Amino acid sequence: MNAPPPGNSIHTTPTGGEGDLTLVGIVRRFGLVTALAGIDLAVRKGEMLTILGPSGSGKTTLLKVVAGFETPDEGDVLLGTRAITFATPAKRDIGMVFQNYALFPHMTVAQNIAFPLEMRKVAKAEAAKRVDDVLNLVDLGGLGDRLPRQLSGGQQQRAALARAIVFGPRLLLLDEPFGALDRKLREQMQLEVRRLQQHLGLTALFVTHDQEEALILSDRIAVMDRGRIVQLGTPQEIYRHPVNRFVAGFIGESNLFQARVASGGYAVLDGGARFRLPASAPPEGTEVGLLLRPERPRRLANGAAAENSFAGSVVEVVYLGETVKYRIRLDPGFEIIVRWPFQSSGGSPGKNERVTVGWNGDDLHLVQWS
Amino acid sequence: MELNAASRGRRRSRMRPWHIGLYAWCGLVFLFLMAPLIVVFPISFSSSAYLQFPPPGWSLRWYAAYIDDFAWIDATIRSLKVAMATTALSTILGTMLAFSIVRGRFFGKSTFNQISMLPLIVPVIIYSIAVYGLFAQLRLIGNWQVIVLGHTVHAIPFVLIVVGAALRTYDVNYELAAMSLGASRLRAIWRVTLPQIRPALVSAMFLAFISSFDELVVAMFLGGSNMTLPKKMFDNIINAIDPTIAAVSVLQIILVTGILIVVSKIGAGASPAA
Repeated sequence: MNAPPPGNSIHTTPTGGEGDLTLVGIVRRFGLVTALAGIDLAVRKGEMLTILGPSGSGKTTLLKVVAGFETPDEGDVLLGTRAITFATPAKRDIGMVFQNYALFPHMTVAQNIAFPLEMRKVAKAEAAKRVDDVLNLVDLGGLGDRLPRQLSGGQQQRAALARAIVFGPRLLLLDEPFGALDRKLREQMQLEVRRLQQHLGLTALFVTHDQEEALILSDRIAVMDRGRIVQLGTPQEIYRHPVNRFVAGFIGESNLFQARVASGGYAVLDGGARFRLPASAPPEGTEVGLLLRPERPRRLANGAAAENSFAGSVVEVVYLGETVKYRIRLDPGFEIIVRWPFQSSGGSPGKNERVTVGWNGDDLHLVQWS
Repeated sequence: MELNAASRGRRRSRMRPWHIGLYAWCGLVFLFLMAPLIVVFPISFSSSAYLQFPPPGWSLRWYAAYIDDFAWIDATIRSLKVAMATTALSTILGTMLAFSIVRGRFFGKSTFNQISMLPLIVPVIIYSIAVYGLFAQLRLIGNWQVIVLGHTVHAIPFVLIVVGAALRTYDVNYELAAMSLGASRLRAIWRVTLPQIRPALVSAMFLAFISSFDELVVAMFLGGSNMTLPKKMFDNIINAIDPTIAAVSVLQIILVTGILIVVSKIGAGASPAA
């Protein structure tokens, strides 16, 4: 075990044993379409890793490959040190929570949860005990005799989760499991699932297109785009240091500018505006993307200064409770989005009001444009 | 609110003539469909020796004639046997066929699908002659099992249509979930998919049963001297023209209605939660 820790580099070729689930060079094509273009990924024991990507990025195909519903054209899937690339789903020891839960409607909740135990020929008494335990664990004690349709959305989800973990699987797969819930319940369930996963030390692979959800739930996030993992890292790393324009645009709100690095630590935008760059600027002439998160710019009072400052007028005001989101058209001819705390005593600008905004070079984050 | 009520009132009054017309039309259609039954029931209780309507008097003699005649009972038992075997065979084969056509990805699938509907399109008489030729060569004419085979080919399209439709709307994730929980594909289908499409299976079985129990032409060619109930009824009309046939018809109607009630009871149980 002298290999360095996998870190953030997505090019580390994982070796068996390093991760609980290891994907090596997974390729899957459908006709002329390449759904997965070489995926290398190691999910560590006990971690919740999220595959985040827009629809069509290949995340669902990846999930199917792991679950065994698809066979990759190239590459290997390892669970621990065991290759399961061609194993049937039944022989994989993976618990899965489906998007719409897929609770069997003709069986009671208890029968649903007992199903994987029955398939594993666990003795009746032992199975009943384990079903009882897991029902209590997910807070469904006493509801075992109900049919799935007699449960609320949140309860159905808990039942689906219970069914996926009752047989002690090596890996838990979650396929957009919160999509069907309303916002409040969704947040509650997210935290509950996270707590349970940590409590039981489950290794989990979670697939979603919802970046907010990914940020809340994950130990690490793998961002997918067009069949590749473009960035792998902790939620913080991904939010603070997106590697390219795609990730920057996909995670959180952002202002993105295309610019060319000029002399003296400046960059010139398409429209001619000049931005002061952070200290670690690339060489002159490089095409770069500049990312400015909406909470970074400040409103400058008369006389205050910043390395980059522009005057402009407010085009749109959206109240989000604690904070207010503004769309501001700056005089050089581009728009930015900013988020400022709400100030009651007339401190927040209104629509069409003139404001001066400023930010420093270090507030900008450089990303690959292409 | 008032305006709303007023406009609704107006709309209802404008609808009224249409409604009366619609009721009248439905009544006529209903009468048309029921007319044979209305005639058959009284005739079966007739005291006359001829098919005569309205009957001159009442008796149960034709029911007695049916029960006392070994040939009738023999034909009935044979028909039930054939229909049940046909139901079992065509439901199993048709369901398997439905799975392969709905789920499968193979070359020539749509042609294959159309070919499996052919028994419904080919005229029965042509089909009958063809299977007669086949089984005559094999010297199997007269065996009830041969009628079962002939009827099964005919019943498969019904099963395919009904079960296929159910499978097309079935969310395959249930099956995948079962597989991820440790079931083999076959086990997942048996424990999860089939119970959920039970209403369709029951309807398919009913259609298969009826299509065989009622069938005359194929049975006539393949049955030889071993008659099924429809063949016996046919012969009865040709030779005797006594109201026994009306009594048999009534019993047949009661049997089928009974099955239909049972079917709707079983079939309604598990509707797939969509």
